[in-house]
Amino acid sequence: MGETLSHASYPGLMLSALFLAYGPRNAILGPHRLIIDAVILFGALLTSSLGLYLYSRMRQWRIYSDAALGWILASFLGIGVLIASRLQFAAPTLYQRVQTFLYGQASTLAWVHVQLFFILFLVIIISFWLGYRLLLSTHFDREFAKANDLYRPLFQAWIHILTSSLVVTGIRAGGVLVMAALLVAPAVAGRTMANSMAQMGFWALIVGALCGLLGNILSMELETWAHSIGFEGVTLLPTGPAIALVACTLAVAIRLFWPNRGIAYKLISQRAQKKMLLKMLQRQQVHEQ
Amino acid sequence: MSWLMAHLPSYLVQDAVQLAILVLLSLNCALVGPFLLLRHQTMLANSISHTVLLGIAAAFLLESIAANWGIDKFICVIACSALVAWLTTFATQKAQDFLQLQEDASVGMVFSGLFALGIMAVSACFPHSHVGLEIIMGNADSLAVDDVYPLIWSFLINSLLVIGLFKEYKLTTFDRSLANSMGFEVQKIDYLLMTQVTLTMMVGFRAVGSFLVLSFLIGPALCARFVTHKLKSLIWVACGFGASSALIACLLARMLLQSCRLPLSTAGLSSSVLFALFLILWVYKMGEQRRKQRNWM
Repeated sequence: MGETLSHASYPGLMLSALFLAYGPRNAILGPHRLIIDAVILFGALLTSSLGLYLYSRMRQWRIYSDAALGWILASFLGIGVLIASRLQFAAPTLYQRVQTFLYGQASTLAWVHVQLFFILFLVIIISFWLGYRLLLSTHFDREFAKANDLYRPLFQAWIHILTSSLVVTGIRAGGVLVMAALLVAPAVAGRTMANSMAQMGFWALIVGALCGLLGNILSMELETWAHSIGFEGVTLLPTGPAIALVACTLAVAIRLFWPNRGIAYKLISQRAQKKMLLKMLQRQQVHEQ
Repeated sequence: MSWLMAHLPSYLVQDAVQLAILVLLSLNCALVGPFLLLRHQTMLANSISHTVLLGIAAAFLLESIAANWGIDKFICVIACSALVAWLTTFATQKAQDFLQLQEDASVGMVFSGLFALGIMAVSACFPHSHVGLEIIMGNADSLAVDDVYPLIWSFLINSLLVIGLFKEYKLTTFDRSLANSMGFEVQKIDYLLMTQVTLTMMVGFRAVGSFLVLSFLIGPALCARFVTHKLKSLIWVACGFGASSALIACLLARMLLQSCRLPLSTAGLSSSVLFALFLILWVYKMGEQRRKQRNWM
């Protein structure tokens, strides 16, 4: 779903770049790069939400979920490519700016972006806190929620918008890859580590933050190592893919080795328990004799 | 062929080549697409379309070695992509069975891990070439006649496999357990289908880029599902939809270029035409349902 939303935002990026190129030029293009960023991201948010809305409608029509996701992904990407081909000749500089959104430019992030992320984070936490029961019941059993008057379409729409804005800001930071990884891996890790939904959210938060941190460190360490060897001017592992790699490895490791839940942990402990049991039985036999 | 090319105005020849390639590509995808759709493996195909970046990088790295052995570069690329596609499928299945992840979680994780490795390979070994961009979007406007031949080959291979193994594909799509109990090797058939998908993607990536091949794989099949429910007619109708939208896209591109002086990417146009077709069919179906409800009442 994360990948679909991030691909779905591609035409939005292009459309807002078109708007910037042909719209009120002097008022907007003059100053702040941030305003340009904001307009671009808003366009991305629009199409991402549109993609999410289309997905829910397609599910209502009983189109298989993976087919719906794949179709929205592919067709929105195609429309985006169409607009991009026009933009490429019309406004090359804007086109370059928008291309960076695809791959993420973590190195051009500023404190303003950090503040923006923090505000988004607070908004999400507050929305989840206030609408916890709504969210949980509607997600797991919609009919039950409707029967208990726990279904608010407006709240659902708000959550959709939050998801889209999350994906779009994530694209700015790390590119499409990071969004796909960070929406899946911390959830997988959280599910292994937790016993309830709230705990899962907590652990997923920690794991997600850890992935971001470790991914950055990995990327920087690899770059210094590559420089010391002699690869000049090569980014061995850009930040986005580094975070994705770290996230996947961490999720798999936690899935395997978390105490009492991990799969390899259970196998190993079963074997250890069997051995202990056999030893105890042997000792009893010897004792009885 | 070259006489024809020498005597026609150049843009018509270019268009003919483009049309041939797009139509062949959509026919290829329409052969394989309905199976992917019915097996719920479209996201797997999507992750393969991304992870083949790793295969292509590996192929470029091994190119010199392969040349020493006399292997054609294109075959090398296809072989490496097939290997990576098998790796993706294998890892996704293992993630589902052994790690007990949900279907979409396993697909997502394998995709991000392998794609990250692919980007690492590309940025480490080819830092200044725009390998990534070409693969995403392809360049439908700079195609040559030579690009048609791989597509013809892959169409032949695809149709032979689909026609020859139709019963196997049909059974394993609709009833895996029955196929298993009857002795069909369901796993191998899965891998064979994924290999076909990879082949189709690889021959198409010069034209539309491997990401957009997905829209050719899903779109015609999805639109055909609105029209029919039988597997054979699904394939035929998907072929029809795919070929006609390729034709419309080429015509539109040429028309827009000549009359409105608007250079648009033909690949993006074909994807948008498919989307428009889907919307039209969907709205028609919605209207039909409403009419049925009214008649019933």
